Amino acid sequence: MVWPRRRFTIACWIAMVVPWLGLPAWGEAPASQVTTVPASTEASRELLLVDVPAEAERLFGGAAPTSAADLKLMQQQVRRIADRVMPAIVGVRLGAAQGSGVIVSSEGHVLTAAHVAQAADVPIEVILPDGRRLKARTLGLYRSLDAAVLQIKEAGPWPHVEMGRSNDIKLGQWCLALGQPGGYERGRNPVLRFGRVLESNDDVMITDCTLVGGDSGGPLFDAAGKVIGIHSRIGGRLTDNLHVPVSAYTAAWDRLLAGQVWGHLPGQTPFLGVKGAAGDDQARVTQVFKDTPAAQAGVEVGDVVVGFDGDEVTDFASLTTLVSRKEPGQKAAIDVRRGDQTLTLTIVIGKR
Amino acid sequence: MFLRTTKTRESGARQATLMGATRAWLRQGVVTAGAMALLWPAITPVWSAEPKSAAKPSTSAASKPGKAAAETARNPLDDVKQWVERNTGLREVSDRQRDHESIRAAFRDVIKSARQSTVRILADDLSVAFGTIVSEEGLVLTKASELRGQIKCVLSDKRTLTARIVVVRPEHDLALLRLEGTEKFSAIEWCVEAPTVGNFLATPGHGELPTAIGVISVAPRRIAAAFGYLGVGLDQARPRVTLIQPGSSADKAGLQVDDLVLRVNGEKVDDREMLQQQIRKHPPGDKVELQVRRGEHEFKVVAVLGDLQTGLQQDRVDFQNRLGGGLSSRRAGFDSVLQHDTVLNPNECGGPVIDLDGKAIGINIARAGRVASYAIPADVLRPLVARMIADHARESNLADRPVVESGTNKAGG
Repeated sequence: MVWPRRRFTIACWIAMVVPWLGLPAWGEAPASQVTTVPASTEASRELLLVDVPAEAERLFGGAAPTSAADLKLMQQQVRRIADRVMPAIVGVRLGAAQGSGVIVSSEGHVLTAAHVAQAADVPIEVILPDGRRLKARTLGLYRSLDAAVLQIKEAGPWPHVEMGRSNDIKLGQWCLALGQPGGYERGRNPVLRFGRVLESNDDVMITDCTLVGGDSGGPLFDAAGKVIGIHSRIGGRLTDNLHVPVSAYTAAWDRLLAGQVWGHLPGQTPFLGVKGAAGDDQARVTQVFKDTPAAQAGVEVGDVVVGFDGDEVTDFASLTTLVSRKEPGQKAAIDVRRGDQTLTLTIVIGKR
Repeated sequence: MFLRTTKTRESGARQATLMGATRAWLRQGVVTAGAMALLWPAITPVWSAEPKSAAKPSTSAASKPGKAAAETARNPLDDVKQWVERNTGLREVSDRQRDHESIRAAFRDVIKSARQSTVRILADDLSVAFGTIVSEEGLVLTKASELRGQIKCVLSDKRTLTARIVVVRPEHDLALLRLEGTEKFSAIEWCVEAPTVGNFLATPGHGELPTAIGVISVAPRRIAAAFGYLGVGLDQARPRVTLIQPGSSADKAGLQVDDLVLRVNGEKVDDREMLQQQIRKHPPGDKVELQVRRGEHEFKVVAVLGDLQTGLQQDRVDFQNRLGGGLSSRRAGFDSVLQHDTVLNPNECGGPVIDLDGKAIGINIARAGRVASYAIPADVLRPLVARMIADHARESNLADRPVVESGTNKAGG
């Protein structure tokens, strides 16, 4: 039997940007390119790389430290990573809202969370750890997984970190979370947390690196100081810290850079509250659900929807498509044929 | 203690483990909170998604055949567990977690000496804090704001000794206690190196393994004091409401213009200043009970205080920060604290926090948020404690108490 889900969980969105130029998305990259550590050439001068001693790699992979010596080794690696990546951790500010982000290319691409970026192609502010405020613009948003990329609009090169791989994460492996919880604070370094991966799949990664409001968009690092996730939301327990797997960015890198927006945040799928027959050659309403936007707008059973916010509606599927392009809270005009009349009703898009 | 996630890694079979259940909840009822609630009160709605139908395929691994059923079935005992976790500090810890005893076990030798210098403080027989033995003569440093009533200390050898408060430094929220007894106590050893971000830390209790572990998150910095804020305008004389700031704590509590505030948490307030004083005694986020007269009626309302500095009620920030456990009531207004990510209960502050060399890097002074515990660093404490001990010695001399005198002279030296 299925228990009713009354649990109250919160999601806290955090922002981080990982620009990653010069290489195709992970799936397409030849193995050699992916694994080769770039030499310290002039071009990669700003790339913040971290050495990983073999022993540290073993411990970070999920082996439990058993002695003070093991702990010292791990501590040394955590300090090294924190020290190296710190300059790439940014605060992100859009109006009164604040999140975090991480710079992933010398050109100034920043990985963040979609709920921090909010929309494509809007001005947004990036705050470096030293307090410098930079003009930036949002690029694409993959809303379903809460991934977004920003572009710093001022001349680089920018200190940046590498994106790693999130598809071969081992449960129990150690990781570092950085970000600006509570928003950017002058005189405070980006805040470090250290923990382990508790769950990981293509959609979400869960760790016990504690997060809180303002962390949204900040990076999760592996033992090599590469980004494996972006902070997204939290739940009621200290172990409910959710991150966007970095593969959400790497797999859709071109779309994100092209400024595309797709998908919806959980619980933010736009809806009207009507039902129609799928096979029908017109969008006839067969049911209007109680207390929904459709009911409030005055849509009635038997109405045939012929237009939605200026677009023609030919059948129920086309209506569904048009609605999915809207955001909850937006107003739309819906044209319905009722008997001999054609009415235009105003509807406020709901969400579910 | 509530461990159900056993051997899953080894067996490779993921059962309906706690983490699995967690994942299922997170997929179901997700309330998004803004990136930063305080600064984002209007833009991002906090919403509670209606439970999706179990039949609806999820895009994730949760929908893989055979697994979905196990993950969607939820044990009602989980609610009980969460209540216990929130209210007692007893947490279930899976073997994948940082705080699992298999990880804490690596710190056994690290805290061996420091835990002899750690005491459990009882105030009227309630466990309110840890304490740190700072001199062989039995002087204990602890978090002052948690102390009330009759003070006792439980030592690492399980003996319980009575203690009295001898010096208090409210600005640091520190108190020096004097243990009864004349034997030599095991004094803490301070770390002399500067704390570095990423350093591993252990907070000893009385067990062989540390109570909790963590890393330094932020280098030492000042934390400004924060005061509670109600959001009302008041008459010059009596505490009669003349104005309600929309969206403020008072507004949300349902106060109205012309209401007369009689008492705050039972304390009588006769004029505007007294009301302000009572409110500012509390940090933002605290609940205060107001007794109010409206016309003929008298009633009580509970207001959750906002922040005096911003004038805002930090509903969402505060809500998020309390997710996962209680906070210290005094958690702001420190000259210099280092921030670490150790998960502490409010009554686990006051004791030493130890680095990997076994030295005290500082004293835990507050549980300040979901991601933050504060410790006063050793370089601040060393001179401060010396001055507190000297003050105590001087007062003891003035009071002409020979037994205490001989002890404190040594300590002061």
